[in-house]
Amino acid sequence: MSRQKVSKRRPKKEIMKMDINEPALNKSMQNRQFEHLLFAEKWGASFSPFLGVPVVQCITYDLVQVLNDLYLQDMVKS
Amino acid sequence: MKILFSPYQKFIPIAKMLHAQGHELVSSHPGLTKNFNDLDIPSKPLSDFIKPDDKINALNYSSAALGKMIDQSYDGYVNFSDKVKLFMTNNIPAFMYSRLADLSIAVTAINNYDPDIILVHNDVEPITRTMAAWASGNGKPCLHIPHAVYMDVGRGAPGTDVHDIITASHLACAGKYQREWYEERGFVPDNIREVGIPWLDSFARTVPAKDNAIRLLSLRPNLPVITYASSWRQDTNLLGCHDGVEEYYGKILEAIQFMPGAQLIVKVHPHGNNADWHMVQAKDKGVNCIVTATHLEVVLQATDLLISYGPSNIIFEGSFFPSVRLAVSHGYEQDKEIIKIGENAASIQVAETIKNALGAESQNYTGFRYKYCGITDGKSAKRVVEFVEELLS
Repeated sequence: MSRQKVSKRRPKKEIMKMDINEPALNKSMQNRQFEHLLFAEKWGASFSPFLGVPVVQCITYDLVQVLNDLYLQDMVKS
Repeated sequence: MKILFSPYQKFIPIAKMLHAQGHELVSSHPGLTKNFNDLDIPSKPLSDFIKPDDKINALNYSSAALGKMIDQSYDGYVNFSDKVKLFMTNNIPAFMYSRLADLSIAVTAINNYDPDIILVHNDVEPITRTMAAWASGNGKPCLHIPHAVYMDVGRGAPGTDVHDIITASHLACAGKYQREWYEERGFVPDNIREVGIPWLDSFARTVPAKDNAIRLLSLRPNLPVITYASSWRQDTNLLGCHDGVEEYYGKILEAIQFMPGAQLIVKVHPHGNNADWHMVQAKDKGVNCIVTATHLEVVLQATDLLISYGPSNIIFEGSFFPSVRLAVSHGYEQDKEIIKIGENAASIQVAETIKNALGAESQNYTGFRYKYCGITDGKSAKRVVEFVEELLS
């Protein structure tokens, strides 16, 4: 569903992936992505709906992608 | 009755049947409207229902929401990383600007059209979720016909991934596996109907003609054909947010160089927008191959071994062709019919696994396909239409 282009700047897999099957890292990443999702949903729901539709919340899908990507860029940097 | 479609070209057979039954069709994207009309399925774009005053109201709402974003952006992410905080502090209005305006205008158009039912191919992307949310707020059914078979690939417990959010009221799912996947995520069981996968109807009717496909693709008939189905990076889930697509493609290109005579087809995703990149990589490594985002049916008929990066719908599509062996980099861990090459395998190991796979007989994939796709009798679209009629009655 996402339409990312391959030319996009991205973290190195060696750093980011670090074998995501490793339980501690896997759990940590799961928790972080969940935090991003929860935040995006709650934040989006805090805005008034338009004609009954929570429009900002409907953008959660796009927002979590950005939050995830920025988080990974911070991980690479550190 | 009035039916609104999300922008998904594979809705065409369903739209054709619904039109034949006398319904009025509108698409949320003018491109799909054109597709419908080109096939003598009369329809209008949703944009026809935007009125000038409503547009101003939508933009006013959008502007007001944007104005509040800075003030409301601090709560709840104090422990987030630096770039996330910076983005929410400085960039969120710019990020939301066009999205919010577009969606707000879409809401006015949906409201003006006032459809009796909405059909979506997912209910998580902004436009499709907006359509489902409008239906939910107005007491109208929204039928989700999943564009893909969502699978548990170890990316978190139910509820932790953005695809786990459910907004549509009803689900036309593939089969038992997909039903359970959605029920685990909170879908009301009574609102789910198992219909198979409409997008596979044409595959159920295809009579394989390998020689013809080999000729159409200008391949040599006496040498093996390996098709690699690549993917594209998806940032919706942190555990899938890495360079795996690019790195694994590199391994495939290296592996193929250990196999003189093997003919490689690189089938990129039709909406991945990365065919050029795949071509450049192949050229850089000196690999002669076909790179294509289209001609799926022909490619599969020519294929001896189909490899996909991770779980993909193409594996189900490949299962319709008896001579195709199916392999994945990773995924389908419980399905012994599918060859697992390993995401961390070195190029030489990838080449060895490919050679072994080509030397083995193709498996019977009927059970595997039924598990994920349900009934594949070519009549899934018809069952979807029957479900729509029930919801409209």
